[in-house]
Amino acid sequence: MNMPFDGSDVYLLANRLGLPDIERVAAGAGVMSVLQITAYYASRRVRHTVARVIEHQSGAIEMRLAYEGVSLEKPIRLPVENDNLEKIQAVLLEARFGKLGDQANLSYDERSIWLIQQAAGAHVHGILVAPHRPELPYATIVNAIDAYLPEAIREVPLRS
Amino acid sequence: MKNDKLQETEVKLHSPDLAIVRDALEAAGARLSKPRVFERNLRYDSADGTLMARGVVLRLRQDEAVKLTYKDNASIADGIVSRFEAEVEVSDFDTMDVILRRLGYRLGLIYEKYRTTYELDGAEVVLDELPYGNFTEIEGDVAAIERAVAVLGLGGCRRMTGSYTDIFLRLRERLGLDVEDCTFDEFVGVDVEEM
Repeated sequence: MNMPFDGSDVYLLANRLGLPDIERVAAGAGVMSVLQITAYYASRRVRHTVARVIEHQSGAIEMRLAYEGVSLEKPIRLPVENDNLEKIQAVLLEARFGKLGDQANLSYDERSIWLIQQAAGAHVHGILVAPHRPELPYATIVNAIDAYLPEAIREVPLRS
Repeated sequence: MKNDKLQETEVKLHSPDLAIVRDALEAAGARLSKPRVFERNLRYDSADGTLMARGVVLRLRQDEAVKLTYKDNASIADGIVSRFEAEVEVSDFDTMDVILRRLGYRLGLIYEKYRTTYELDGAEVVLDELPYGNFTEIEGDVAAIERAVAVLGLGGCRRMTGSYTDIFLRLRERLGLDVEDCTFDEFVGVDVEEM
């Protein structure tokens, strides 16, 4: 019998890559919201990734990227267009993200799994998604991230 | 050197049927500036893994010539990608590869394609055949790009903002393809229908 999937490896990845807890960042001074996408790959041919998009009350938006096995001495920071974040937020709203649970029937056999988390203040909500299995409403969220935040889920090869 | 020579602006369109695009190019009076040629490209990463993670392209290309290319700092608007690009021609592919590796760069990925190049009204239009699908790239200023898209009837094509490497890696992981590099040999017997 297969072990039930609980996603703990995916949830723990951000901490394993040295990132502070999403709750702590969201509760930080001047932070309006945090959108975090953790991409976990079963094949181990690409690096696991955590992309954290922080929206500040000042209007500034930045993405902080952490890749498994990549030096964090100089964190990777990329700008994010306000328009792109707004489009993703609109899709999340439309999909009732706040009340959405994990995609059904996830298993340890998935090719890849994304943990998508949204945090504001003390509230954090996250869902686990299999991006290669396009089921609604998850497919619309995956497509929006593909289209508007491609840097967040850029696959970086790991060669043996 | 003027800065505008170090800026690349282009759109990449998923266009499975290149015969249609070729017909449209000929009908529009485009000039074939470089016949179909095979390219082999090596993408490198830094030893600490940050080059590819930051979306920086360090690429060695062999077609009829050998070129070393560096690209970074991409910005995207309406599916058109603009970024810094610097390119030099070098005399020997294998020696340049050795130099890069001795400098500490590591091979990230190999990808191959066939490319046919046209000129059309101030834009360069290339027809690219990759192991996983066909694409049309149009390079020029934004007005020339949009003009060419309209003239060639490509307005309905999906604009891909990722590099060929990005697209390959995404397909490989999502479809579970049993290939390491994006070469025609590795794709023999591999059917990519979901592109």
